[in-house]
Amino acid sequence: MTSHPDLQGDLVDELRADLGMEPQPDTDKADPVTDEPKRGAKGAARRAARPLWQRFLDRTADATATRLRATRSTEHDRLAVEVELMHGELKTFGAALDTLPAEDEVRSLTINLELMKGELQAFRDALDALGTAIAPAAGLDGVPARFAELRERVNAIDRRSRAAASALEPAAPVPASATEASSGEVSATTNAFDYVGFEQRFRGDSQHVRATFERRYVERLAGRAPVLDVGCGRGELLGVLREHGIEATGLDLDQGMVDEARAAGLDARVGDAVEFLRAAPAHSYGAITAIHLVEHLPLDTLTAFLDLAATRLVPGGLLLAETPNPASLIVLGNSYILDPTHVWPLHPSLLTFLCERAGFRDVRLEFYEPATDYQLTLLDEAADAPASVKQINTALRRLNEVLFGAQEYAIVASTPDE
Amino acid sequence: MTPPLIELLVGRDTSPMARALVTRVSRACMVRASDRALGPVAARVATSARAPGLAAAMHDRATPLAVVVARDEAVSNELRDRAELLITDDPARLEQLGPRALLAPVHPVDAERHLAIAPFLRERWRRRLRLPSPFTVVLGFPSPTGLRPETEATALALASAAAVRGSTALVALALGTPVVTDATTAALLGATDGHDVLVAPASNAVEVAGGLAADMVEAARLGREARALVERRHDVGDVAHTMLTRLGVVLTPPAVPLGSLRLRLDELHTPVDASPEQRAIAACRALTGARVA
Amino acid sequence: MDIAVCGAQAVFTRGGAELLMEQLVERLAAAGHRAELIRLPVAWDRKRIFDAALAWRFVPVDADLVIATNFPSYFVRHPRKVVWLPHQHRAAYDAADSPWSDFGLDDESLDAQRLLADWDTRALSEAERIFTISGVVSERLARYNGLASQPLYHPPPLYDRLHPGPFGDYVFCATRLEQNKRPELLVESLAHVQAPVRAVVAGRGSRREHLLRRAREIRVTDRIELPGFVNDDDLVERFANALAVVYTPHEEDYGYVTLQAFRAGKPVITAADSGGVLEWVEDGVTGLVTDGTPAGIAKAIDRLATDHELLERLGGAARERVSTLSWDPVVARLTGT
Repeated sequence: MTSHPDLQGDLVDELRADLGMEPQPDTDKADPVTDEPKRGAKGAARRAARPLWQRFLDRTADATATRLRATRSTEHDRLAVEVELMHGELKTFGAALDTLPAEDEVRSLTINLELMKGELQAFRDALDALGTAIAPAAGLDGVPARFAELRERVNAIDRRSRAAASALEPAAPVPASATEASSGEVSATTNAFDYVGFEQRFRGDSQHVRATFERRYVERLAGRAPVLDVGCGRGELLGVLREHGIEATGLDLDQGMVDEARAAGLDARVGDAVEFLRAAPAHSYGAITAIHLVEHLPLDTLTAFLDLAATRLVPGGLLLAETPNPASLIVLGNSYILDPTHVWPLHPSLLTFLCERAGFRDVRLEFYEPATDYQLTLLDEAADAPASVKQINTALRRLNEVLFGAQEYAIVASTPDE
Repeated sequence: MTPPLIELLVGRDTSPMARALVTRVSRACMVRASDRALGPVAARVATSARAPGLAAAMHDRATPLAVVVARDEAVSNELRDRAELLITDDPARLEQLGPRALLAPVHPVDAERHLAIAPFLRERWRRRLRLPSPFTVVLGFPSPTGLRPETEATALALASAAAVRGSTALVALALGTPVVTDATTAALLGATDGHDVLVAPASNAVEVAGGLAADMVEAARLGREARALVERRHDVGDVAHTMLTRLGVVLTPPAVPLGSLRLRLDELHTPVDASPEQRAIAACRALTGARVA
Repeated sequence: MDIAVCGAQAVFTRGGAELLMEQLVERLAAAGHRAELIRLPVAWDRKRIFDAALAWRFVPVDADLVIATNFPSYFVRHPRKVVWLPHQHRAAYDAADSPWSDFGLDDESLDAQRLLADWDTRALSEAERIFTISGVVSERLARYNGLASQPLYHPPPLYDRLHPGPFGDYVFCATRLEQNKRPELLVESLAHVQAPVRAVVAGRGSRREHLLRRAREIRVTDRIELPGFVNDDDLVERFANALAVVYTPHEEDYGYVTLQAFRAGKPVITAADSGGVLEWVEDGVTGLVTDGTPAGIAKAIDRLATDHELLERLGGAARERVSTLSWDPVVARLTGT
């Protein structure tokens, strides 16, 4: 590995691509004299014997690590400074707005602000790309944390710029061009499908569900009223919250569900989540919950929902979204596809990313309910057991994790304190 | 040990010079414009004399202040007397800005980001990487080498010679590349035909660069002079170092052995992660148990 | 003036660089200066190559003028620094990737070469003036570091004592028996020599056993003599009575042997890739330049052994060629007087 910043391995590969040359084969890069100890014939044989997918993964991991090394030293520094500069520039605009400028100055400020928003968008795209590179956890200490911090700051700037825009043009609410048309899709599907009956048949009895909610969420939501429960269904969570004196409103697309909840004396109404939130004033809820909702939303609607949630929550407010865990294969292969209204499995990393992108910070994941009934039984690992037992058990544990791991997870995300 | 915190005050338009300066500083310090302070502020840097918050910063006399003054910006007497440092890229304003003025390059480049490579070593690198040799890079002239912006510096670092016009020429010069350019670029960068660059018209610049690639002795001389020119006139690292020193953020190493070691290594422009530095620090640590400041 | 001559010290070894420094100090003293030799140990392996260079940056030298010589002594800091360069650290320059260099073409070596070239350029640029001992060294400095310098030729050791004598029945060489001097070329060539000519190779070195073994293998033991170290008196006589001198090193920087041979009126047989030797040996004028193969060298020996007139002509021109060498202009230019 050379120390020259301009000759890092991936840069040279990019250059070769520009020059229309083949990428350098790995064997050419390693110098038998000093770069790493020479790989013996044995090592080469082992390498060749590894499954193709394993070798592919190795290569991808290597490439990501190389890119990140270069990224950390160059792009990362540059991006960090750009964020600070842009932050400062936006502050300048903020200060200018405070002085209530004359009308034509408002216009020029608006244009400049728009230009900057454009720049900011490009910048967010760059961060997104960087985030994708970092996601496979390349093992660089501190980079993901630093990255998350950076992204959080960019999102903060973005929110401010949007706030500044609406201050200038009070008639235009939060722009959400992509979301206007999409919110009808869920209801269209639901109308043709008896969800109440389906739920009762497959999702376990109401009592069990309530106990679960109590265990998982009550402590988190205490003191956060008013709470909005989007996709409240029959109102199990609303009921649990009422029992603990937490003021909460429910929202669901399905008239049948809402009727049931109302019958139980709960505050529930029929409505589309995105439309409802858009109409709500900023900072109107202490917490928003969405139990088994997000997997029903198309991506555009989901991002609109998350964007709106971020602005309608008070600073330091909480978003709590529970959804099946597709990383556990039994979920993906069974319960997930059992429900025909599920749009697309939401991987925990994807949902985290979407939340961060919407401007949440401190995004955490909680995993629940491993499918213990199905899990493979481990061999007895007595002290004198042969080493192979240990190996088999390690393999079994990994299988259990992949096949029969946590069936649900919740994302717990908070808006920044400001 | 956490790096010192520099608070950034940003004006409406950030000049390329201020941008480069702040970027360079961010390699040694934490540079923040964010509201939330991360700790005690070691110094403030304003990227414009009109930056909001500057008035408040001027009152906080305990925190040193540097201001990048744009060409069209007026500087009040109060600011001139208060700021520890006034940075301008206009030589004509130096006198007016008084004794605390510092001249920065109009076209800045971070010389430490583009370490010089002598032509004979470029040839060895190309052999190692199995790249064509000789390798003439053309940028900004007719029939340019098809490169994306992100690979330009790498190509220039490995080139036998380059025909480059425009601001990329600065990167080429920093890398110690033998450069052929046009009269305008040469004039902008303060380069002299035959001394640190060769000047040629667009019609035969590529041909001249090809000739240079074949003349190892002339290429080596031009490459050395090119790097020297950048270090003398365009290195933003130099300005950043002076700025941080005058702001008291970087202290002049004390005249103890470890301090002089740092000075000696700086004098030879040794990158901080180069092995001589590691070895020297290790050798000194054995005696004193200390680290280089 | 108080003049400090600076040089590297490869401990427990002696070669041309050491002779150069010592003679320079003597000559400076003879010219009325106070001169002292300052030496710091150096290690040549790649991992430690920067250590001595950095060490020189710390050496406080109080003198009116410093004259630095070989790597890394020119890293000394002084407001009045003059460099007279016998050679750079060749393992990192022209000899990189050769069998006897520990600098290869791997990333780490190339990084080290980059830094070394950068340091060299900076340290040498600090000098008021840069001189080298030969055109070959100047050419390398221009090629690798982009630095201009002046060759400054000096007389070899024993210059005043060497004298011509009758052309004898042996070709002679005085050299360290090391790989880069290629003494085996002469030994191998004996198998091809037709004329009744012997070879005498004076000097010590690690290749001695190898040479003796090769001589046995090709059955020329009775025609080769390896006397080892010979004292100055002996050396002067061996030069004086030789038929000619054969000296075929690889890319020599300067090569005292050539100059000593010329001073003794002997033509020199050399190879086309012998570097600095070729600044003196002009084919058919002061010696013979061969292709460096044993057969080629043998042919040249035969030619001189059978053509007495040619021998006389080349020998005369060779002695004439070095007749103006003197320390006086060297001292004058180094001290700027």
